[in-house]
Amino acid sequence: MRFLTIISMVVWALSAQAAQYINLDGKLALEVDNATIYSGTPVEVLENSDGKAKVKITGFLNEDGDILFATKNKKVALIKSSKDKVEALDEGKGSVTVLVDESLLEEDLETAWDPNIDEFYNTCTQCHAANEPHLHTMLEWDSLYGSMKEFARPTPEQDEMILRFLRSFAKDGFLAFP
Amino acid sequence: MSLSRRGFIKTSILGSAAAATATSPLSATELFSKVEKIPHAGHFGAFYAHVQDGKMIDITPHESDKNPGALTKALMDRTYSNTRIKYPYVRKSYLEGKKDNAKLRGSDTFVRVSWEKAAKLIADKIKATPRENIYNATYSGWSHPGTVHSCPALCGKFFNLAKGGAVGTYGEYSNGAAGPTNPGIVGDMEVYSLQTAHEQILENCEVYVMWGADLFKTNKIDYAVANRKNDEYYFKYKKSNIKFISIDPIMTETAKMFDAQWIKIRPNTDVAMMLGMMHHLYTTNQYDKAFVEKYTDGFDKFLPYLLGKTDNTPKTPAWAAKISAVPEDVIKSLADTFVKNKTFLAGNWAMQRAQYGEQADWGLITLAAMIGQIGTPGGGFGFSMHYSGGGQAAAGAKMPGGFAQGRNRVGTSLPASRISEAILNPGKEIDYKGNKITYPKIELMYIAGCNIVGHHPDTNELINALKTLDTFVVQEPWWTPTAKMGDIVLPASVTLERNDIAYGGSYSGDYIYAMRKVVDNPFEAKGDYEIFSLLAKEFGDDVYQKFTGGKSELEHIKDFYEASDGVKKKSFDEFWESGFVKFDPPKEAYKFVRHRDFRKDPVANKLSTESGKIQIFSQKYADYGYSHFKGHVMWFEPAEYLGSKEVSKFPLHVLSPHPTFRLHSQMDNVWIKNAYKIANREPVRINPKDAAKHGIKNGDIVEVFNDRGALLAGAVVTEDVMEGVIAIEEGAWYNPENLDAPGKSRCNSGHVNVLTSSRPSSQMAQATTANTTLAGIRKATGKLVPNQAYSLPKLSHS
Repeated sequence: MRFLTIISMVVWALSAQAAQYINLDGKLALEVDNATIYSGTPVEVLENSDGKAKVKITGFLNEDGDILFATKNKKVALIKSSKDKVEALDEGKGSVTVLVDESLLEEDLETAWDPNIDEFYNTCTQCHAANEPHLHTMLEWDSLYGSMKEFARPTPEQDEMILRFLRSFAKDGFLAFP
Repeated sequence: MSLSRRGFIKTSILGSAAAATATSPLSATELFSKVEKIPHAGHFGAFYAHVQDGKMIDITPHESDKNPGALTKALMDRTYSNTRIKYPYVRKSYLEGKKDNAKLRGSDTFVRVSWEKAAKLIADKIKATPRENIYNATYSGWSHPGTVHSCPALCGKFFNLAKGGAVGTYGEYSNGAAGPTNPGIVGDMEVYSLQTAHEQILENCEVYVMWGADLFKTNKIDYAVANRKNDEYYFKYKKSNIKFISIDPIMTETAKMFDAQWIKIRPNTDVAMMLGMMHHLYTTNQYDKAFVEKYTDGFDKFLPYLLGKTDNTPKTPAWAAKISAVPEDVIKSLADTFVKNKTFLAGNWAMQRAQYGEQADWGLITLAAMIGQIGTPGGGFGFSMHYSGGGQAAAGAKMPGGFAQGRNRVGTSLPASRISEAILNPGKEIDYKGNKITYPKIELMYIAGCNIVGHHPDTNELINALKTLDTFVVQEPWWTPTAKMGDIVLPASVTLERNDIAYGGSYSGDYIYAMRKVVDNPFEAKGDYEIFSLLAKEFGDDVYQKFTGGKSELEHIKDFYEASDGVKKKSFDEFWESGFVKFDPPKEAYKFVRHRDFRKDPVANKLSTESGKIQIFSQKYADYGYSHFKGHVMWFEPAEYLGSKEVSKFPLHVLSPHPTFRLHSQMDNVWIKNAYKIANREPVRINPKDAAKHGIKNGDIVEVFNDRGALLAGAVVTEDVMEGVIAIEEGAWYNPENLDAPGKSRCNSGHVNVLTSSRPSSQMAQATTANTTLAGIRKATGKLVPNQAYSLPKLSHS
């Protein structure tokens, strides 16, 4: 029994440290703690208290030093904040720490990205089957999606949701497609 | 638009009178039974079906069809065709579970079963088969333009819900080589993109080059609903001062219409000719250096190849002339003409359906870049002027969507053109667009509204592959050659027997159409939506609910309509009553010029390519390390063409162009065939010199053959095909001369894919290469049996 308790505690500790993702339930971005955080952004949870979580986001900084991107080519934004919140790191990277509602955190990658995944498959599988995102690079998706979207005529919000999904899970994206 | 009762009666009387006049001078029956005029639409155009006493008696065109033709009219014949599948059937030895029953596929008797039994048989098989071993072969949406009964959407949705997915198809047959290649070159597939508006061509173009494009013929149909509005523009083209040039092994109908200069080119050698022109433009210092510097990337890496510094073969016009059979002075003169005039290069899709087809569009784009007119009104290139009303102004309205298929959790798909190879070689690994694919083992194949025996190359290879499957389910309105190969055959209704919604044209997007049910199916056929709903039910209430959303056919139609911009014009009820909604393209749509924004500001409007410019050289492609697809356009000698040594055995190059009187294999079973077939067989066009050489006369039944198969066709001796080339339009229904030996016997119907090769374009796109085919020809001898392509298979109803 004691052995099981120890195992449970280890599992709990590991899961507490696992990457979590911002889940905005279909919204593209949300104002939090004087910053704009984007859906699906991976965060490191530093501490929790009173239903709030202090989270750290790390990424590649833009030239103005106020937006963190997931990859070097700066195609997928993670968070936009005032410059004074940004801690500059090596290799053009930076990090931002913000306080968010715990309800915005999601441990399961697929659940966090569900709205984007649904938007892509709902919009892009009416006329043909869709290739999985990791089959193409971000650039290839820009090109392929750009060739086809005139037929689907997505709204600007749908367009951003789809592109964000394709770029994030692309062959050279920063997330592995679950 | 709503009709008052009085207005409705007046309209009905007028409609009835028109219909009666159109169908019979003896209209007294009108007194007793009303003629109803019901709006409907298809790939051949929008129309009204006239129905009396539950029977369709005529079809008249809708206002949006600017050049109505026989194809629309013949939908009536197709609906009442003897080739209809009336009931669900199961192949006898399959039903009996006999060992080795697959060997009888294609020659067995079909036993009539109930819908319940057929659905259970299919569901049990699907449940018992791992999804990685199921191939959803339902490909593309050419069966009809309706979005509710869309076979690919429904089939994909069904498998994704019932099994979490199935093996699917990568890419396509139409643009299998260029589609995946062009994005890396010019940041767009190009082959389906909005084309420069006709108005801009008419105002600005001086030289219009139809590089294999047969504008008039192929624009008769549309992937959405055809409007044939291009034909109105062709009148203006004809009257304009534009010089038309057709580079093509065939003197096309369009080339004749425009009195075009015909440049006869050996099939599969277009890239060599393009390189010869590029060499001439470079060495005579005529190419547009400023454009190349500002808008392209990697010319310096391409130049050594062009000049022969990398392979000791300068790509001179003389070199190109030897390969292409286009005289050296003609190649030079054409290049001079192109660069000195505002020249539009209208590419086509046929030349990339060839071995190394990835090079075709890359060659034309590189040539256009050296000419320097890309992004100008009336200049540059376009790869879709021949397709679905290319060149028409876009209305910009949101059209009705359809069912989303959802996510397919089977990670593997098969590149179109590799189906036979994959079925016959499970576990084999191939290259594909910089990735690797391992063929899965296909045990169960499901196909709906799609004639794979028609469109897949090397029919005999395919049939022999199909004979290795455990189960083959076919859902079809007609006994097509594919249906005859099925184990379980489900009768689908035709669009005229159910409700649906569609839009058109593909580019103009200026109409939404009600595809209202016109007549009842007199037998047991069901709509595709109903069939897949029935199958979904076999997988439980949850799957059924998710599949149907708890809605009827008409409720889905209403949903799709109300999600479109149609509601801004008419309520659903008004739309459904009137049958259409029209949108007018804005004025600026008539000024559209492809790539104009890029030309105006290549930094702000950069292309989605490695450099943001046109990739004359692509490091990404070079890094793939493929043997026959490098970092820039190159000429690779095809395995079969008029310059290859195989010519001594098979002296004629076989082209399989889009049919004049069909949509692929659709409408091969209607009366129109009587107007052009020879002894009920597909025509083969042959040059008089070749005909004389082989002792063939006009109207002879001939055998065309190579190592892959043989077919019987009717000879049409004509100067419209250059010497050394024969043309057999694709889409004739396959019929093995010996009905007990499909896959081995020669085709008695003239189905050209019996001759075509399934070799892939290259490691890059693995695309179809149907136009890389050589064959021999001889007069058919001996006793010929009638073509039975349009006959029913053996059926048992006991």
